[in-house]
Amino acid sequence: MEELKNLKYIKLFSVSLLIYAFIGGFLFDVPALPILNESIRVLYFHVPMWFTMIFLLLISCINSFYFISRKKIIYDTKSYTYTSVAVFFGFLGILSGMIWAKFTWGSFWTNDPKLNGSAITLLIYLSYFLLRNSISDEIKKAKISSVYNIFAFSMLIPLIFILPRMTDSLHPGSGGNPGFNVYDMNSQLRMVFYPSVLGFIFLGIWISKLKLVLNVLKNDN
Amino acid sequence: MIIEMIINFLSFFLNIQVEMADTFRADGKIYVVILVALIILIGIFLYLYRIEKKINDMNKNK
Repeated sequence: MEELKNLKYIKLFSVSLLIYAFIGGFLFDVPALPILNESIRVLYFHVPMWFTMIFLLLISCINSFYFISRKKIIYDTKSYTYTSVAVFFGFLGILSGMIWAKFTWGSFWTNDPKLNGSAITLLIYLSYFLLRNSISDEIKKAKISSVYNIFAFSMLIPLIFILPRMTDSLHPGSGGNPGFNVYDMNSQLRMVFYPSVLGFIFLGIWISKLKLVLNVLKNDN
Repeated sequence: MIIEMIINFLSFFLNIQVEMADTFRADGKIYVVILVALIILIGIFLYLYRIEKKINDMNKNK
């Protein structure tokens, strides 16, 4: 249960930042833009899902490296847990993005490279679970799924970060770096956006730690 | 700059004309934001419920 000891500040930050983000997300001023109208506020809830997913997948990938170098089964359990929570956040991101797309771009699914890239990424990670469940030997399962997990993370980088930026995309930041684009986000949006991202990341860590305890107990039984 | 402003103004003007009588697009599409926030909250709650159920099942099996 030592995993749960250090959670105090993470829980505190997560709750307070998310309360702030939900209040500020609905009440603070946003720039008036055509077509988007008030739905620019979805930015505070949709984009943090992806940030959380990528952050948790990064931790998962690091734990897979640890497993390969140190050969302790706990690292594999960790990486499995973080991946499962990350995929859950990815699905929330897809669902919320589909709703947003319906009311701004006109349909639930467009052939935007970013949409297809994230869908492929989720499929790659879904087959990670299939791969794990198909192997009964514990050590073999941990080894093969660690290697696959590292491969999956290295596929995520081109699919989500590189390819969408090389073509025309409905998302902001195509043909450039959205992180440094001063025109896409002004300071009003940033004031709620970054706290929201941090809050959801902390929430993701919190859920993962709970699930980790569950998975460790399951392994021991 | 000026051309951009004119395009923005025109698109804003056209947008008013084609706006549907759709409750979800009313009040500047604020209901879309509410729906998205609800989906995320309900999703997280269901996920936590599933984790809790797994823990309870494990306690029963002990």
